[in-house]
Amino acid sequence: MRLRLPGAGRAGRAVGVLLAVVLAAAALPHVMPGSAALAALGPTATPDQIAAYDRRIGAGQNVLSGALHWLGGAAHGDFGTSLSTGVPVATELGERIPVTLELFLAAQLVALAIAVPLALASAWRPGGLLDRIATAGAFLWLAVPGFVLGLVLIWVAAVQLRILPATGWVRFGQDPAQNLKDLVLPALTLGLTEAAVYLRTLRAQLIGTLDQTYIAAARARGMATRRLLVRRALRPSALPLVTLIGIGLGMSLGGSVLVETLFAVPGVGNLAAVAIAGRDFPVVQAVVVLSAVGVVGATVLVDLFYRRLDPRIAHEHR
Amino acid sequence: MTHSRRTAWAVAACTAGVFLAASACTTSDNAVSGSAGSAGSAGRTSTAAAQPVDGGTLRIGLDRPFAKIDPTDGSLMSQPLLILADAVFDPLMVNDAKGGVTPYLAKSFTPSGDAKTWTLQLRDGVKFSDGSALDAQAVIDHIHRLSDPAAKCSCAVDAAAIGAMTATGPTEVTFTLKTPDAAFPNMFTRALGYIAKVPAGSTTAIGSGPYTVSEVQAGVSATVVRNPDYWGTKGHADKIVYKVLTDADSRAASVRSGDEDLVWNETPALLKQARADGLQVDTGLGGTSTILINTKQAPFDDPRVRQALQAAIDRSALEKVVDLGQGRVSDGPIGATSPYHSAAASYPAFDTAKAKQLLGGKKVSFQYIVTNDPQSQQRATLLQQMLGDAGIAMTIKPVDQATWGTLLYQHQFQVMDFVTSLYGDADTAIAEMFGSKSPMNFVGYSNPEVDQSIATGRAALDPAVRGAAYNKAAAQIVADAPTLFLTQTATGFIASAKVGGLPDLSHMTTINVSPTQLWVGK
Repeated sequence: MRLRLPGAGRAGRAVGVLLAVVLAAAALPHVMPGSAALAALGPTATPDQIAAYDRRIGAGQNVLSGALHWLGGAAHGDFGTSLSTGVPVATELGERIPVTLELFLAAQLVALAIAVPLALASAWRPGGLLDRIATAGAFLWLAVPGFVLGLVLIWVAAVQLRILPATGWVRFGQDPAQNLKDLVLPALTLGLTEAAVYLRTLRAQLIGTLDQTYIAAARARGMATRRLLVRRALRPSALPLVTLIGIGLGMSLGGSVLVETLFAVPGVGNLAAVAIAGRDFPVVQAVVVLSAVGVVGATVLVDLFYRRLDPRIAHEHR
Repeated sequence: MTHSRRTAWAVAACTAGVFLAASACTTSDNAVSGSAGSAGSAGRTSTAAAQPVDGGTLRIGLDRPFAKIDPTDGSLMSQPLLILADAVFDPLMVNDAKGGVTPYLAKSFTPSGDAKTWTLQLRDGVKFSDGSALDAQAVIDHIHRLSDPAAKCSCAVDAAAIGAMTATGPTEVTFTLKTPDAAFPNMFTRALGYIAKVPAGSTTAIGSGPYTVSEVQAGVSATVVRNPDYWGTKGHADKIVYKVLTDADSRAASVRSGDEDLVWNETPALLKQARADGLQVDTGLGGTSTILINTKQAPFDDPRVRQALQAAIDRSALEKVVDLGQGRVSDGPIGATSPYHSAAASYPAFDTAKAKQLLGGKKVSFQYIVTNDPQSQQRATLLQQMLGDAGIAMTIKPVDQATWGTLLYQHQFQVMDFVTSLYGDADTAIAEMFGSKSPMNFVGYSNPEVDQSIATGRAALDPAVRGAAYNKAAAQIVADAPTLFLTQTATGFIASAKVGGLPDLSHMTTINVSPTQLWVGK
């Protein structure tokens, strides 16, 4: 009789995905256009210098041995050294990840604070005035690129009203009040865009849920509307929303390049943008793998959370 | 590419012979007289109080990340970041307002009669911020460190011109060059001249500048505080906070919102808007937009085809549309702010009929390599239209900066967009871009007469002789058209009304402002 560990298949698939990403990341020096050696050494570099540089970044190595070499280092917390700054990549990421996570969490708060109440109100009276306004607004919002929204927010809040900084970042530990001020505009830019997606997703789910007989029964028993919506309808309708948040969490570790660049937030996205432009492969490689780890890890977390939100899922998979 | 947007590649291209930026003449004793030319509408609009204010914090927005605060970092040595480099390090020589260079950390830089031996006298009693002496040996050590391939400094090309260096006194260094170079001191206006040292056990470079680094996060921000033991004129601000703000729009908005006092800018529309908003705008002709033509590839190995392109381009229209009337039409490889610039310099007029005549019915089509920045794209679209009118088919190929640099360095292009700060200074720009043996001669141009003029100019200590030689070379280059010169673009700073001390940049060959000059009003 074979012993089957719960979740073993899922874990195996996750490891497989991560290994594939590590391999793909190791191939970057081979497939990305532009020469990292020439970028660093200039047009007067000799062939020997270029060859030495290529060896250093793994461009002359085959992809499999490059990936294994990288994995060997990563197992000991060594992700290589940035070609431009000479700083260990782990140190660079250690400084940037908390910034990106803080921005992600703040953006999620903004998105949920807008999307959930609006979705509940819209779904309660589909086709009503509020629903039509919210739906049209969400469509419009989705059509506005994030950087345009960011520039508009800068213009209004920083230039005209002068109540928030246009750019910059102070760490929470240095100055909590300034950190929160710095956080507002980038978090709003990310959060408002996501709010539109969340609103449309959650509204559609809620309309379906509110058609269920158990909801009609609860209404017949005289349950208060707010309690009905929050306690009975929201929880089973939130599964797709949780999926979206989970994927967003994973992807945020890769960084929100545009928003971090626009507001000069020193997060992972900002680091990635500079590293890609300078062909700083050790940094690019680490950010790619980190992003993959984030997405895979978040997916596993979402699966676990599903079971708490809807016990039937756990039961079906038992 | 503009000097700001092409980041590392631009830096490599423009400092891969750091030479690219500085030239013009040697010491002030050798300054060349001549017309500085009109600087277009570049210049300064100032509303700040003239009375200096000591104290406070000056906040400066940079347009590109730096990898480290060390002269080996090409980004730090690019025009927009010199305002940070000048806080921490002292350059031996600086560009002056007359288009020449003048001693700064150096007391003098004196040539032998044949311009092959140069004697550098340092100021007495200068110390690094750790208290150690900045003497002749420190200068030699600095040059050795930057010449080491491990340092990855593009300035190693310049250093290769030095045959020997000897400390001939505690504050005297004698350089023996491999070939005569009357413009030798010019190379000390950038990396080789920003004397630094890395103390034992440290990985961070220190200098003798007016400020010392108190906090730094590579590529993000740096804070410097006043150096109490500085040998020279002390800075007005107690502290300067530099932030890397790579997005041009939000960088300009940061001045309007009061988050920054001063930011670097090269975007014509933002400069115009800043003027309209009553902000201070201080610019010079810091960049020249050009078109590189690969003379080794058909059909551009035929000079008539290159000349046809030259005649088909309306440079005034480009200046009006792309530079929004804030730049200047370029008339060749000697920039308008160079002391060698001649009012008599001529450039073939826009003449579509002549372009067609030069082609003689020959069908010409080519690919134009351009980066993704808005000005380059806009310029490419206009060029496509102008050349189309002359029957020349041009397709635009946008690439990222690293790819652009690779294609440039490997000479794998037909025609390429190239914006650079080089042409403010003729001494090195002409030699490096058009000398037949120069590694920076990307277009593969070779003309013995030009080589001879370059050699004559570089060996001549007499500015008049040098200027005549360079103008002769420039006229030949324009006639042969291996590179088409389009416009000189306004680059510089946008500042809030509180900032005082902004110098007039309109006649500078390299935009370089020491932060000690600036103050923040109450």
